Amino acid sequence: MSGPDSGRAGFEEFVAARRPALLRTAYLLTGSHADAEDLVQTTLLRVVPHWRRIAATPEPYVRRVLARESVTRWRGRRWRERLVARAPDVPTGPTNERLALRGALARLSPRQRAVLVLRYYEDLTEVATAEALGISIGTVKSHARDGLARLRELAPEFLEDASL
Amino acid sequence: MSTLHDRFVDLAEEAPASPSPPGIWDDGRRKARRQRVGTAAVVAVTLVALTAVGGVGVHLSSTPPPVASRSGSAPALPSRIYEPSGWLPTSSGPPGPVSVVIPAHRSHWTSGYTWGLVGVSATSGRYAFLDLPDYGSEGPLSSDGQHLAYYTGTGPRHDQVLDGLAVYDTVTGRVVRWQPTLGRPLNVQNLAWTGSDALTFTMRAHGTRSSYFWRIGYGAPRPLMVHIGSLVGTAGTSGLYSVGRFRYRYLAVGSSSVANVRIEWPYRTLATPMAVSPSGRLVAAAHLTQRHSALLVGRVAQSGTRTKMRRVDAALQWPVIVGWADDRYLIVVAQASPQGYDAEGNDAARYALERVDVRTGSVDRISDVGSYWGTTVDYATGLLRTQTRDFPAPPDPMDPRLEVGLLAGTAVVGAVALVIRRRRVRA
Repeated sequence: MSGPDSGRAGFEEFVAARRPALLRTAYLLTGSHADAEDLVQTTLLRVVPHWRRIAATPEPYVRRVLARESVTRWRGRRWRERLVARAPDVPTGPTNERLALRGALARLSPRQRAVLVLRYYEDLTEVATAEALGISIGTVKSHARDGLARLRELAPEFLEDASL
Repeated sequence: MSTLHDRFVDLAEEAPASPSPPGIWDDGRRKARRQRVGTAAVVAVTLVALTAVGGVGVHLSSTPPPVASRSGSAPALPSRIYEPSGWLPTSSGPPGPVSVVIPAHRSHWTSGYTWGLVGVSATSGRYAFLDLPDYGSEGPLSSDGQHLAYYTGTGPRHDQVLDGLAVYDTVTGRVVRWQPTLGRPLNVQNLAWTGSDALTFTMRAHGTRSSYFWRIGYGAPRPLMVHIGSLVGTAGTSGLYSVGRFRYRYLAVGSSSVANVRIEWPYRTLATPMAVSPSGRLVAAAHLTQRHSALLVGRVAQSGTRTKMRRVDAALQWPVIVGWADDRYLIVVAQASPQGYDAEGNDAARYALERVDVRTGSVDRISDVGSYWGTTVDYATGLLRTQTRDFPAPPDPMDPRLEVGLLAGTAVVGAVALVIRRRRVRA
């Protein structure tokens, strides 16, 4: 007789507690509700087989899967779709600042966007960002620098008064 | 003044707040299981393909076990001679007496091919390239198959200069070399065995052509007092040499006794090549022209009496004399397929080793020697009187470059399949 999987409870507890936060990060990474939910779902499915190993501290691994998945999964699709003018999802009346930031983020490369989100939303260090994305620290620095410059170029009226 | 972090936090407020879909744990485990099964299947298929490619390569390059024979390990000519593969191995040691030597392309990984000599063991029928140091060009095989003469060469492959002679002992592996100091390329002709341990040849040096006798293992070649031309054949230690138009000379090189022979031909043109029977009493020649071919036999006496050649009425196409089995049977290589010598598509003609009864003209086929390349084969003529034997076919190794390419290609296809599969599973 096989009882319930001993890892299931911990996993479901983690999902219940952390899914909203993961969705917020995924939304910044994708710029779309549907894509954010899809990205989180895919990430969680990929995490399940490794849960026993990471159950003690799942956050870094889950974040790594989420970030890398956002780059590899969306790079081919969203990065190209970005060139097609498409109105972003607007669930509730967004502010001008949100619209400007969302539009500017959508025009960054997937990796630039991931670096900025991990560095300035998740507040990860350069080392942790590099580890999460599987790239070098130098690449993190250059992507952060280029991404910020691009943001300022795309939304100058909004970001000119924002400090890092 | 807000920070970029604050802006991101504000934007993240737009994130969806949908409830967690049920069954993520079960779906995740199911998906992982499917992925493992799929990965295992791709790996298994790849391994099977790799094993198949490797297995084919091993099978083609494997040497079949020797065939048990009533005559045991007694030397014999093979009943069929196969065209050797350029990827045959080099004999790791002396192969023992060889029945046949075949000039063949030896293939290389990076540089096309070079010429080499493949020896066929007289006792096992095994094919292998002979390890001939500084091999330059082929020479004759002794009648007992123990000594192989060849020209040595120096310099790059495409611009090689022949600079000496060497004799490879197929039983001991010893190589005896002779490299005269000439200051220019070696110009040796009419190289032939007299008996099984001595060579005769002519060499042009200092403006004159001289004849030489070289007993292997007894120092350098010695000049002969008499001039010899091409060797017709040997009877014991005596050789019959061509010394001019219709004029021949029997020479016992050991004693230097000489007997002139004059042969009358039924044709105006000369017939070549020739062979003298082991007893020295009969001589045979093949007369080939564009329109017809004929086999001629005559009695020859060492006393210098005139010999008249008669035509043997044998049903043979374009015979090339290999030698005598005894005073009655002559062995020739003849075209076995119906096309004529100059017929279209003659490259595909088949040849066979035939035994001709010179008294009756009856012909027995004793060995299949393949296509035109079979006419370049050199035989241990001492075995012509023995029964041929069925030996296993030599290995035909797959081009190792193709094998490695197939293995690498299969591995790459397997790896790509794995990557594609992982991406599909992820999606």
